[in-house]
Amino acid sequence: MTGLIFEPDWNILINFGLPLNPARETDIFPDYDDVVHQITVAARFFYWHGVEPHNGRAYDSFRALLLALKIHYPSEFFRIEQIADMDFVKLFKLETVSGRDIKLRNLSLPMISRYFRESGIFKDQ
Amino acid sequence: MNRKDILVLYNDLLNHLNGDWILVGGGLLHFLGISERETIDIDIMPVGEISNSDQLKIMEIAEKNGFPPEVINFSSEYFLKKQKNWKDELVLLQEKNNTRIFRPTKKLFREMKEQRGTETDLSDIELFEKNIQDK
Repeated sequence: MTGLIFEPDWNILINFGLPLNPARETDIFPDYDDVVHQITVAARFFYWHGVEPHNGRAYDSFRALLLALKIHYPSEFFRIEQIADMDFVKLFKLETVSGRDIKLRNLSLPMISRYFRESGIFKDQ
Repeated sequence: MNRKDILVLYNDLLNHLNGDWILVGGGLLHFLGISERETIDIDIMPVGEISNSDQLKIMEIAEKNGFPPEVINFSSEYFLKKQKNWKDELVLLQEKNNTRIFRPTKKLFREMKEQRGTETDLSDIELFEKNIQDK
């Protein structure tokens, strides 16, 4: 992986469903292309920097967001993985799920599903 | 969680619980043998009121089987019981000693899943309606 490693725009990810500020009930729905881009930026950011004491909660939250996408929006998860050209499952150890991961996923999923419902993606056929 | 582990956990739960219980969600699809999709939730809820000791017992059984207790998802009860006439929409799956296990009808399953409406929820509805008969 080459190029500059930027810090992601956390607000875009939080408004999509990153459970860093779970009490937030937002009516801000960022553009989905921006969301996908920021997920790839965050993946590179954590890949490059790893988990450090100051970003541990952000890292756990990001894993939970990926876990929510992988289980509940698998086609989007796969598409974003391809865009990022990274193996999220391996890099973020998504095969191993702890109780804390489930709790954070439980915070992330309602926000993500609201985002997709409001934006008209994944409506029932 | 793979299907084998999920079924072992369900069987252990059913052997240690008393009363009437309802299975829903992705775990139910594994139980019915119509899906092997990934899930990290075991959705089980009582037909009546759940007690603290029931909750504790269920979480202990999950842990005994190697799962984090958080895999037991009690929040489905809220979504099920806010559906109108939900008690009329239960189908008996299994009866053993003092325990009866129910599943939702196709109508109730759809109503519950549609509320959240994730990609997986929508494909679960399709699978359930294609493979399950209510009568």
